Order: sequence, then C-alpha cells, then structure tokens
Amino acid sequence: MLTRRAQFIPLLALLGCATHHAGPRRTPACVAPKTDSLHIDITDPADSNAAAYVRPCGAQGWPASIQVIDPRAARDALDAGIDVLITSDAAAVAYAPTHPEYETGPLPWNRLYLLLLPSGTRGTGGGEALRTDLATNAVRVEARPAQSRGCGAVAPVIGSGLNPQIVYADNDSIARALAERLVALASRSGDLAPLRLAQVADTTRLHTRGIRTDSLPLAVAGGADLGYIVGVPFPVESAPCPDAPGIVPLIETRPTAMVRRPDTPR
Amino acid sequence: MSFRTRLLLVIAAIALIPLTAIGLLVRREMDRRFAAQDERRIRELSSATRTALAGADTSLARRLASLATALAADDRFRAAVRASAGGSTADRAYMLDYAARAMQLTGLAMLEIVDDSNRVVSSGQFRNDYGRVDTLLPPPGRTALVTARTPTGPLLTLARTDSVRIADHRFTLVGGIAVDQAFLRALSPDSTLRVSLTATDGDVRPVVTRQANDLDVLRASVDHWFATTIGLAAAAVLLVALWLSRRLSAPLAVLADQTAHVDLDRLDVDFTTDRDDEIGALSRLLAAMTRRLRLSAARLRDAERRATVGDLARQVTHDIKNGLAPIRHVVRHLSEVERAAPETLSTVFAERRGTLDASVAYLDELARQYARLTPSLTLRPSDVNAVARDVASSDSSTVTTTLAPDLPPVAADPLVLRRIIENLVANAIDAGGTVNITTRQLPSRDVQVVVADSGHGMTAAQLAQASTDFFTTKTDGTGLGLSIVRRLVADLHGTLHIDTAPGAGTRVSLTIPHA
Repeated sequence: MLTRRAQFIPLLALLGCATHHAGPRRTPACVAPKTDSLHIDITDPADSNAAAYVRPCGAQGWPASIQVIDPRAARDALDAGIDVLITSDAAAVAYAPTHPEYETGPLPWNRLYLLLLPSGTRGTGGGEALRTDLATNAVRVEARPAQSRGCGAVAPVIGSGLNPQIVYADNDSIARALAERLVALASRSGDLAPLRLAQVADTTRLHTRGIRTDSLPLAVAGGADLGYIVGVPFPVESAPCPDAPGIVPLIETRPTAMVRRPDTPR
Repeated sequence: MSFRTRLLLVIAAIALIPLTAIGLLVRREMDRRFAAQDERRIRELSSATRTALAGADTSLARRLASLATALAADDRFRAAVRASAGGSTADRAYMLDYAARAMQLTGLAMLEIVDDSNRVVSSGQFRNDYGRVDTLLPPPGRTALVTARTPTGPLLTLARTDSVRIADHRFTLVGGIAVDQAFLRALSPDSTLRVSLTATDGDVRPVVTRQANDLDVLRASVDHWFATTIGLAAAAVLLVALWLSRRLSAPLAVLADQTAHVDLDRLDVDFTTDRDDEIGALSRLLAAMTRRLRLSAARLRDAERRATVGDLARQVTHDIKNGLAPIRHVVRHLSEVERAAPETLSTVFAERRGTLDASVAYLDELARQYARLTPSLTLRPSDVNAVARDVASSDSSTVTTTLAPDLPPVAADPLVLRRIIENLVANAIDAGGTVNITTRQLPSRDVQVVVADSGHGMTAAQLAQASTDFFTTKTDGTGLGLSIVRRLVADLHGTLHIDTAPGAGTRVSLTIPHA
C-alpha cells in the first residue's frame, strides 16, 4: 500500500479531457472520505498517477493511502465502501451505478498503446479504421484511437522479427486484447488489415505470446519477434515529432474513477 | 580334427542346440501371445473409445441445445442483434464476450456464434476473432474434427453445431471439446495404446494404435537377454567342455606317449597308475600287455639264442680255426725244422714264439667275449645292496652309493646281477664325472637300482643305437656292454630305463622283481 500526502488536481479542471465517449458521464468533483484519511484502490499499478486527480471535498492535503487490488476484487471494494476506486475494469464500471453513494466518471487519458515492429519486420501499420476497431471492440476498457504518435516513448526496435508471434506483458489485459485482435486480423484483407507482414508467408502461424512484465524489455531489445505491444504513460509526445518507423500507435486508454459522493454519510 | 576338438564340439552342440531351440520357441510363443493380447486390447479399447465418443457427442449436443435455448432467451443479446452496428458499445461488448462466458459455464473448449452469413459474432476461445467468416463449420447434427483458431495457435476440437433464430437472424453455435493429449489419454487409460481420431466421410472414428516401441522394446529386451543368456551359457559350456575334454584326453595322450616308446627291445615302459576308471583299466591292460610282451620277448630271445647257437658255433669254430691255424702252421714248421735241422730248432722256436703267444691271446680274448654273451642263469634270492657295495669298492674314489636299508632280496643270479651293475658302472666311469649307485624299494616291493653319472651323456640317436650289438663310441670298446646288459635284465624279468642328454649325464634305472 502506498501512503502519501496527496497533491490534488481539481477534478473539475479536467472535464475537458474526457471527451471521447458521449453521454452524461463527467469526472467526479470531489470525494468524501469515510475517515480522516483518503483510501484509494486501483486495479492497475499504471494508474497510480491517476490518484493525483482525486481530492477530498472541503479539505486540503489529506493523507491518502493507495492500494493495488485485483480487478476481480473491484466490485468487492465498492461493496466494502472504499473512498475511491480507480479502474478500467468494465465489469466494475458497469456495477458502480448499483451503488448510488458513488459518483462515477472518467479520468484523463493516461496510457498510449503502441505496436513495436522490429527493423526486420518490414511491416506497415494499419489505418484509422483499425485503430477505431481496436478502441471500440477489441479492448474492454474506455479507449480511443491513438492521437499521439508515441514519439519519445520508446526507441525503435532493432531485430530480425522472425518469430511469428506478437508479444505482450502477460499481466496487461489491454495489451493482450490488442495482440489477439491483430493476430485475428492478420490474414484478412480490407481496411482492417493491420499489417503488411512480408516475412510471414503463412499468417495462420501467427500467434500471441504473453511473457513476464520484467522480461518484456529484454525481449523488445532482442527484436526476435514479429511485434510487441507495449503501454506507455500518456501524454509523452513533445513537438516536433518525426515519423518513427516501426512504432505504430494503436489506442489511448483512461481509467474510470468511482468516488464517494459528498452527501454520503460518513 | 583331434579327439579333444571333437569332444569339445559335441559337448557344446549338445548343450547349446537345445538351449537355442528353447529360447527361440519361448520368444516365438511370447511374441504370438503378446500380439494376440494386443489385438484384444486394441479391439476392446476401440469399442470403449467409440462409446466414449458417442457419450461426448451426446453431452456436446445437450450443452449446445441448452446454450441455444439460453441465447434465444437472452434479451440483451437480442437487443445487440437488433441494434447491429449501430448499438451501444456496451451491447456490442456484451455480444463479443457472450461466447467466452457461455464457454466457461458449459466447460467447452471452443464456442463460436456465427450469423447467417457465417461471420463470427462472438468467439469464446478467441474473443477478438470477431468478424471472420468461418468456412469450416461442421455439418448440422454431426460431430466433426474442427481446428479452431485461438490467439496462441490452432486448437483441434471435436465439434458440432446447433442453431437458434433471433430477431429474424439465424445464428449457429459451434461448440467443441479439445482433442488434446489429456482428452486422448482419458480415452486410453492404457499407456501402451494410443488413441487418435480421424474424420472419414464426415464421421469421426477412433484409431487405436499400439505404441510400437513398447512391443519392439520388449522384443529387443528379450532378444538382448536371450543373446546374453546364450552367450554366457555358451561360454560356460565351452569352458566345461574344454575342461572335460582335457581331463579325458590328457591321460590318453600320456598313454599314447608311453605306448609310442614300446618296442620289442624297449619293454620297460612304466604304465603304473592309481586311477580306478577306464583310463586306469586301460593303463593296467597296457602294463599287463607289456609284461606279457617282456616274457614273450625273453622267450623269443631265448629261441633266437637257441637258433643262433648253430651260427655261433660255426662262428666259434671258424674263430677257433682262425686262431688255431697259425699255431698249426708254427707246429708244422717246428716239426719240419726238428726233422731237417734239429740244431736250429731253438732258434726257430724263438722266432715263432711271438706268433704262438698272439694266437693264444686271441683265443683267450675270444673265449672271454663269448663267455659274456652266454652267461649261465640261476635265479635265487640275492642282495642287491651287497652287489652294489662290491662293485663300488673296486673304484671307491669315483663311485659312491646311496643304498636303501632293509631292501628285500630280488630274484636274480648274483653273478648276472654283478655283471649288469659292473657294466653300467663301467660305462658310467667311461662317460666321465662322478658315479652314484642308488637303491630303493618300489611300492610293488620290486627293487630299483639307479646308476647315475655326471658325464657327457648321449644324444637321442646314440641312445637308440646303444642297445645294438658291437656299437660303441669308445676306441677300445667291444660294443657289447649295453646290449649284454639289456639281455641280462630281460633274463631277470626286469626293466631298464635310460634318461640321458648331451652334457647332462646319464641316469640308468634298473628294476628287478623281488624274490
């Protein structure tokens, strides 16, 4: 559990960031902790920085504790009355309206997913139709087609790319879904065709492979696989950003925050 | 081929041929039984597998029917269908995830929901494979082997279909169970048999095969141990056969070697043995035969002697005539001188006296030699030690004795016995070196006399000629010494054995029967 004295960013100031999904959803204004400290549960360690966007109502500088929980326990956290739950888990987001004491709203886009193609892959990235399909259908989190090109996030991959597999970190469900969709589309033609893979004669041999998170950088450095799905903090781009061959931006994601309403009895 | 080799081969064949035959028969019988047992197990497993597949097919059909019913009743799925591409993201996600949830609930390894254009709208084993046109659907109502796509690779399934109509759209549910190693192992609890599935004309049939290696490994193992056993048995049999053949043939070889030395003049070969088997009997038979031969030879020599008496008499007559002729001439000359010139008789006598002395000496020597050839023989108890001492005392500086006490008397003529030992000692002294006379009593109570010298010895050729009359290597020898000794020993019914080698001296062993 992480405990720190949070430096909150006013959530209302971030409303303009959550514009992709239409509807009444908006970022919660503030949270009313049950105690004198703020307890935040997150289901993805990569979203720990999102806690900075949550502030207690009517107070400044409350001590906050952040706990990373399993996504399958997200609904249990709501049932237990956690102050704030930050998650991308679709089931938890769908479940939140059953608890009227919580206000649900999106946080700013905070992750960019990239497809890294080694220099030997000789592939080309897909178009906007592909990115839209990935954002709307392939992943179960709130996502939008990538608007950043991912410049500066990662270095181009040098390698043969001969292994017919797309590799991802096995604890990253979003990366896994993206890899699976790319593999599913590999043999198809049309505007969804994600890649032109010159060295994969038999696209039915193309498959996904999840590896340990700490092994992914080493695998990327080796460049032996056809492609790698990586998620990087967003935004990372700084202008000007030249085209980076082999770095294909796919989608951007953001978590959802469920915060205790101010009028909820403490 | 020698007797030993033949014996060896016969023993080896007797032991190895039945062993090999038994081994081959056992192996063939074992092979036949294993093959029959395998066939039976394959038939039984094939039948059980067909039953299990029928059960799996029934279970699969039931689960798909339940799913079709549930799907038809699912309003949210229906709403997603009606909204089609224009529906909400949540409904679309619900449709995409439907197959995965249903697959988990039903325990299937594969579940796809395809629309009436065979386009995948939801896939349980490959959630993001939506939109693909599935061209490999199993025929309705039948189970088929289907290779389903998954993110990590192809998945072989035993699949069948069911269908449901929702909002004027016909959806086909393709469900399957994984045909993986676990599934096949469950079909075949016998690890030595392997079950695989094959699709022929749309029907899924089990194929049961024996793990070929198992029987082959068993055969190879049996062959290995069979060869090892045969090899060890062959080695053991060969060793035993070699030992037996040597044990059987060695005494025969000794007997053959001893028998090879037997001839009419060499009947002193010793066939004595303590064996009580057939070899011992043969040895005793040969010894008895040799004894009879010795007696026969003695009688033969006696007959020869008698037959040659006439020749000897003629030779004696001739020799005497030769010796008397000069005397007769001298006497006739002296008679003529006495008649014609008596005054010169003494002078002429003196001149002719040398001739007379030479003739007399010749006759005297002739008489001595003939006396040696024809001794008179009277066998009576005689003391060998006494004779040996007397002979040794004649030249005590050269001849020593080693005499056994309490020696029994032998049946011999003391004069003949003395002549034998005298001749042997004389020959030994002539050979040079020292001479020793040894006496001892044999187990048969016969007495053995050994005259050994450290002289120049003899070659084999010299030894072979030594018994021939008038053969000698000495400048002043008569060549009758050893020949006379052999005859005298034979007359005493004894045996004579000579061991000699050039430079190693000579050892003459004389055996005389006890009195």
